[in-house]
Amino acid sequence: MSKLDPKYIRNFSIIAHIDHGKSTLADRLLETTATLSKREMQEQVLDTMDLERERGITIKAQPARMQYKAQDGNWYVLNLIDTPGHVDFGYEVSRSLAACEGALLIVDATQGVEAQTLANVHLAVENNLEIVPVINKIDLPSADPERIRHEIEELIGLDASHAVLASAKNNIGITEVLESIVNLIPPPENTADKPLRALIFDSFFDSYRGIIVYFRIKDGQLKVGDKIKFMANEKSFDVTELGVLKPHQVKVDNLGPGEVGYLAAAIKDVSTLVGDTITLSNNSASEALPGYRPAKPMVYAGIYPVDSDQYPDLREALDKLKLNDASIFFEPETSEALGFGFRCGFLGLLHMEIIQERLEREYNLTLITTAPSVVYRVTKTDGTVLMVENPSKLPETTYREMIEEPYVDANIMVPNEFVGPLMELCQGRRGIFLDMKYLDPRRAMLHYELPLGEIITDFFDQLKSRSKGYASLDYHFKEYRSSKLVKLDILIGGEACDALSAIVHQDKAASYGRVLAEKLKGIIPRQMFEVPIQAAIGGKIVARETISAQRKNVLSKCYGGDISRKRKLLEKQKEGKKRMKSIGKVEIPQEAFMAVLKIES
Amino acid sequence: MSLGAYIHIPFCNYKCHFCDFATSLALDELQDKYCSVLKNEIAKRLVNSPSKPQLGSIFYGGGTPGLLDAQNLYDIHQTLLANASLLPESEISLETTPETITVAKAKEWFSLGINRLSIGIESFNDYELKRVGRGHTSQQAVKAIKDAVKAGFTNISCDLMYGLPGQSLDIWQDSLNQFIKLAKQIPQITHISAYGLELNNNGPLARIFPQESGAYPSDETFVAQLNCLVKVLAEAGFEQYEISNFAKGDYRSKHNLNYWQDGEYHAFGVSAHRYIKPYRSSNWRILSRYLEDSLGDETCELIDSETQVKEAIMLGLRTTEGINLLQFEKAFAVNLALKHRDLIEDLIGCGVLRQEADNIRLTIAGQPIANTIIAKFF
Repeated sequence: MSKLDPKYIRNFSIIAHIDHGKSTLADRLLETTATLSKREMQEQVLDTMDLERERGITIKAQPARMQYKAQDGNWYVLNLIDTPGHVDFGYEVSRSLAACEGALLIVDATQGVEAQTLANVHLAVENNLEIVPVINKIDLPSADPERIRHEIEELIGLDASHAVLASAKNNIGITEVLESIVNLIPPPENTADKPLRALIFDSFFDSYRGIIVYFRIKDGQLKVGDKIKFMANEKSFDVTELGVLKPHQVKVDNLGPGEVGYLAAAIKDVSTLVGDTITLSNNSASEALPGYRPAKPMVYAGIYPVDSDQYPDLREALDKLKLNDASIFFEPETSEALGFGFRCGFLGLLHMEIIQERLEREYNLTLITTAPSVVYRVTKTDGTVLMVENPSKLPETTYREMIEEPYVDANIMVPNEFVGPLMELCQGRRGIFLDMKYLDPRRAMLHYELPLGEIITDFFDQLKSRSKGYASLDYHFKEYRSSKLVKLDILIGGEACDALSAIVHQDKAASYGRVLAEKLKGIIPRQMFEVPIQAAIGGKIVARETISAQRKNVLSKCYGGDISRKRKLLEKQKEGKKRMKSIGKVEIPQEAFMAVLKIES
Repeated sequence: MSLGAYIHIPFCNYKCHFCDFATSLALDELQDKYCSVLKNEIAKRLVNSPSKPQLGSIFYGGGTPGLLDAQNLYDIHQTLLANASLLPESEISLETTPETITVAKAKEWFSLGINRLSIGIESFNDYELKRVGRGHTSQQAVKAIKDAVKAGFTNISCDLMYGLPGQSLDIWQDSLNQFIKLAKQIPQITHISAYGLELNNNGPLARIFPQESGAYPSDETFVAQLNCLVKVLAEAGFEQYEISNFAKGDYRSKHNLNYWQDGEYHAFGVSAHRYIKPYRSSNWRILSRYLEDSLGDETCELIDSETQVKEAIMLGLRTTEGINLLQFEKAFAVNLALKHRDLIEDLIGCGVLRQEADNIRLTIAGQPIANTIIAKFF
């Protein structure tokens, strides 16, 4: 490949709320620029994980390089770095943004700007990105592009007069989008003569080539055979393979300033690469590029193998996944009930679910995840301060001076008719009302302070169900505040199950215990004996339920000598038990550990 | 170890609502064709045996083998005997319904060599019989047994069912009492198979009385029915030897015992399952398919040692003899007492398993949850 003049490069990402049409627009751009042939095209082509397609969401940003002949007669290279839209993945967004000069802001012409979009646009503006608004789905009968244009200007403070009107689904306005990218987003600077500095925005493990690194060159050039150095890790490697992402990997010999690509260099044990700067060993840059805001886990949960033999596999899987998703945190933990496992930190509930599913699918593990918890700050009577991210580690009452919990600043955008139900929801979750703004005659923005611990249960589900799916939420950590919190313990068959302990507000604790015990009764299957389920606060039983013993599970007859059929039936029963964990002598299914999440307050 | 032979006769006069077997009603037009395919299958399969098989038991099951034309039954049986020899005191059973039995017919079976009849009585309550789609009354059942005796049969087994829709504990007890009264009059009744209903969700019974309809006895009642069964039969001299099977003295079914003791058995006819080590295989279940390809397998499974162990546990724990741990280790090189020490201890603690010397067996409390217990050993 000949040297590419940076003035013909445009690097951009896409910011959009979930369902506003981001993946569909990305598909259209790839099609229109003939980056992928018709045969290679499939829906959500950049969402490479099965999980993403199944759920219709983007988890991992997947880069794509396109070539486009603009109306000015020149060929341009457009690098798209797709971004996830969910609040949990703000970290991925910030990484993508750092590698770009501009961003498309997609807003649904029937819905308007959503809370999460707002947060991501602010991130982009902070990163000095040029924002190109695209109003999508304009061909829907309920589309109101003028209102949306107005909303973008009012809420975000962007000039939306040049916003592109498009329908990605029906191929309207796609050329205009491409022209806007070329004309409005600035090219990268031509810094070919400077020492190499490239920002790593993603990495993953390939069993043949070692760690594969995705990067964006800010300054200088890189070619196959170069000896590179990771500035933070201070490790050097020889580049064995260099390429671009179209979106599949295509090898090239060299890459220049402004270009986006991947490299392999037989990299094995390097812990955190994402955010690091690549330079050359023999012509090093003096200063690394600014990394990005490191992800701070907000939610912690225990992850345990159902079969304790899988513990080493789980460790290896987490190590590998960490390369691909730097925001995961984990450290070994032991539970009396669940044995050896890891306490893991996640960005949010969706992130946690995704990680568990990825571990199970990609690494063939069978796991139990405990109910998520926030990190509590506990001041002990001797004055020492302790961060507790596992309820079972909470010091006894007599040793505690104070428990503080994280509060967040939450913005909820909601159509007027659902304001009442959502205020009720926030009130029920110990929310503190700050203010309410009317965005336009139809929508309002509620501003609350909420304990994070109340959000990581089923808050989001409730928010959606009480607003018929129209409300959107964004939140940021605010501060730690002292609360009247107590530890609720669950005893199954008389034995305390540490993995089911929860820290809850004192006023809610008893009713919470009752509901949880009832829930567990519905989830834990009948055993060969009677099983009492108790909820206790500080040793005092506040609720009790009993699961009566199983009475009947027998087959009468071996059909005319058909032994196989019967054996297979029993093997299936056994298989079902494999997902269960024994607490004492009681077999408990995975759902039990998540029951805590589904408690309506 | 003994060798058995199972012959499946799929024809019935009517289909019972609870039935899940390969059966067919189109008797007249298909009977001759079926029998000739069956004879052919028997001859072809057995001619390939390295030595002439020595059978300890033969079982004509169905369907309703009693419906077969005497000549057809004779031909099939002769084909079998031409290709296999019988061990002394071998058990040759034929399954049938009460309404197919007459003295004349039973005499024909007897002279053919059939020495055991298994009669589907199911219930002594006429209302119940009608409800599950049986074509006979309790009176006919009594007459059928008496006719069989007149024809010379001295080894008669009766089938009964519990867990039926609308069947209270009292109704079941009443059926049992009538059976006992009859058995006292007729000492030739030597055996009883009593099955708890397994609802086949696609069958007619589930359509008439869906699972959740409330028509079926509760789990508690079901367990009480089983307890009552074991108790009443024991008092009458029928000893339980497997969860669903009871016998007087030496009249345990040799054919069934062979299934449960890891024995081999040949099988012929549509959907029939065989076990000739190390394979378990079965014939086509669809009649037309079988008629075209009587030597073809619908399923075939290699029983490796791990599977063999599972089966031995499954079958062993269903018998009242239970599992002899020493013999088990000798046969399969697995020390169950060691491998499942905690489990065995737990089960004993729950009162569902008993250990005496080197034997483990289910207690009466364990029987209704046999599946749960067995699955724990898997």
